[in-house]
Amino acid sequence: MSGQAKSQAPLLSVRNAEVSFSTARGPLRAVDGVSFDLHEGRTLGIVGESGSGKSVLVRSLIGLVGAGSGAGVAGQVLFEGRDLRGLSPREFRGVLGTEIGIVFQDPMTSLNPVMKIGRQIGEGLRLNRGLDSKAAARRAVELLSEVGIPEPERRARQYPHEMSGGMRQRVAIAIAIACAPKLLIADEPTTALDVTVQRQILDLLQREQRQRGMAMILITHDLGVAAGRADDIMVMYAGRAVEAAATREIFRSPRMPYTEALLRSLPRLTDPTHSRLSAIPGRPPDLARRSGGCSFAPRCSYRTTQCDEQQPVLTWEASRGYACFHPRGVEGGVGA
Amino acid sequence: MSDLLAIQNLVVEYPVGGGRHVHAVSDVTLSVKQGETLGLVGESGSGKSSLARALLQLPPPKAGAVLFDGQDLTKMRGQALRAVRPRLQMIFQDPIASLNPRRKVSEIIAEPLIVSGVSDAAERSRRVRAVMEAVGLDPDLVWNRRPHEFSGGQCQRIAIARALVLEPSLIVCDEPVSALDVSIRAQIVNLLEDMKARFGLTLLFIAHDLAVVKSVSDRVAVMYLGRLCEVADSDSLFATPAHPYTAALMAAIPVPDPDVPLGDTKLKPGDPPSPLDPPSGCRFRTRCPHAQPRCASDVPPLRAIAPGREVACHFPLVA
Repeated sequence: MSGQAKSQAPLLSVRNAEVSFSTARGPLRAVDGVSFDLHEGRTLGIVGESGSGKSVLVRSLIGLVGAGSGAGVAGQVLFEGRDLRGLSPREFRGVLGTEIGIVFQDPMTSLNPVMKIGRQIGEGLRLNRGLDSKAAARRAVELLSEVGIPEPERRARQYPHEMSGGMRQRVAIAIAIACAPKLLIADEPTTALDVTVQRQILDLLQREQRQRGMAMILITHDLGVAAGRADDIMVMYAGRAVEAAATREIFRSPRMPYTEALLRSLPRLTDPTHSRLSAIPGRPPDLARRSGGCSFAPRCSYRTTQCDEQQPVLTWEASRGYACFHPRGVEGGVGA
Repeated sequence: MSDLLAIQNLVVEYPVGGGRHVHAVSDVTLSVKQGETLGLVGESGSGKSSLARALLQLPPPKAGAVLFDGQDLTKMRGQALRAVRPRLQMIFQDPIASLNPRRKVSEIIAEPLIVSGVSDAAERSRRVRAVMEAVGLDPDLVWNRRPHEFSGGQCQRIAIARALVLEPSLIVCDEPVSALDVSIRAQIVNLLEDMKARFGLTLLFIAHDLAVVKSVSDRVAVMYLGRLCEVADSDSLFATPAHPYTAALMAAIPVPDPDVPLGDTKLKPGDPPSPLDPPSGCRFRTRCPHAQPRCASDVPPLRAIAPGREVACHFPLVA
């Protein structure tokens, strides 16, 4: 995902993305200088806790957070070499929904409650792909069937409230993939769902992604979900990307102490009952009162004065990056 | 060990109009031993929260008995029920919504003492201070502050302090860490374990996160659409699930390890049925890979298949 290792140009390239909001307590930088590349057909998991900036980052890339919502946005976003930030609203509408599809956490609020399912799925096809309403309706039924909804003809004539949460999320996926996008953004797509339904939805996303060769950004707070589905993972903390690497490297040899501490704090099914969890002390910082140093320093067991005074930048070592003065498992670092 | 809590043939139904009912809990019999943690797992609509509230008589169940220390709570009213209440406390999922935003933290924690008749203000202050210290809140820092000034994790500490201040025997924890961030969850799980040891508590721990449940529970009960599927000690349940639904749940858990292959839930496609109109016979049969005609006609009773192991299935995976 670093881009250095791959010769092919990335599908999506983000440089120094910033998002800030003005609050009563002063400016709040929710996303602070995040860069990453995403190649065709790959799945990037963006992992972080609430307030880490993972959703705001991705929403700012596709214009859902911007001047209109009172946010200050900076940085460069190249999609297939085109600068998305330089597009007019009209040009942007041609990209969103057609070349980039989005699935949100809560299908009850992302679907239109007063429009029939079939019409919602066909809307993009009519507006962007020039299909007439008959052809769009036919294609909507095909898509419902593809995302695993039984009796698609009958379901196409129903409204969202007539379906279960899992079904609604399948509909949301059908809408997102209707125009055959090259990039699918899934923002906590299964957080509102039960574990057995979550499994079915993640399987569906992965199958569609592979069959269509789409790239996917999977935003999640659940490290288990990211472990099973992402090729690469970017870990965010307090608005910054603190570690980025292939999924296995993140889980096997985390460099950043935050990643390491987070993985250690998880209860495991393989641990005996009543094992003490290794909790991370403290809590994430107040973004309106940033210190000059590393955001994780107050909670970090490897903290030195350097960590309090200087902000570590994301530096690359071969194909992986980390923002830490004392990376784990590296010569010269504390874990060496 | 003796049972602190024995739930017998508990039924909870909610009317939804047109003469129809949500069958939230149907004929559940379950006990919690003195000093143990019983984990209760199930997906939304399984009836786990309805069961928890019914045993605290919030509201009383439609049928069945709830024996707490030998007394049937469903037969008690008014003063008699109020006399038992201090020994039964609850912690809710959303720590911010469950605290009164207009009250100071010290008042929130003192409220149960006032309700239960501790009239001496100095005595109340002393007990509130002691319990704040026990849960890791600095009384001098938090005393006059209000819930909105705290994070979710700190609010859950306040809720735990409020539950502990009456020195209860049993605490029902309904999804106590689900709303918390990953890095905060372990702190609260550890705190609950510490409090259990320090105050000799018995816990009913309800959660949908199986790894958290495994970590704290001595025994685990699995519910599906208002009925119990399986009850077993934690280690055997997770090592060899006997009910096909338990097996599916285990296989569906996203494991935070990329080298663990995704398990096969073996579930038939389709969503969970509505608790308004649960399937006949075994309620899991519409999704069960092993369903036979008998599963549609006969309700499988919860029966012992080994010491300390009960399963409600005609064709259990462990004989």
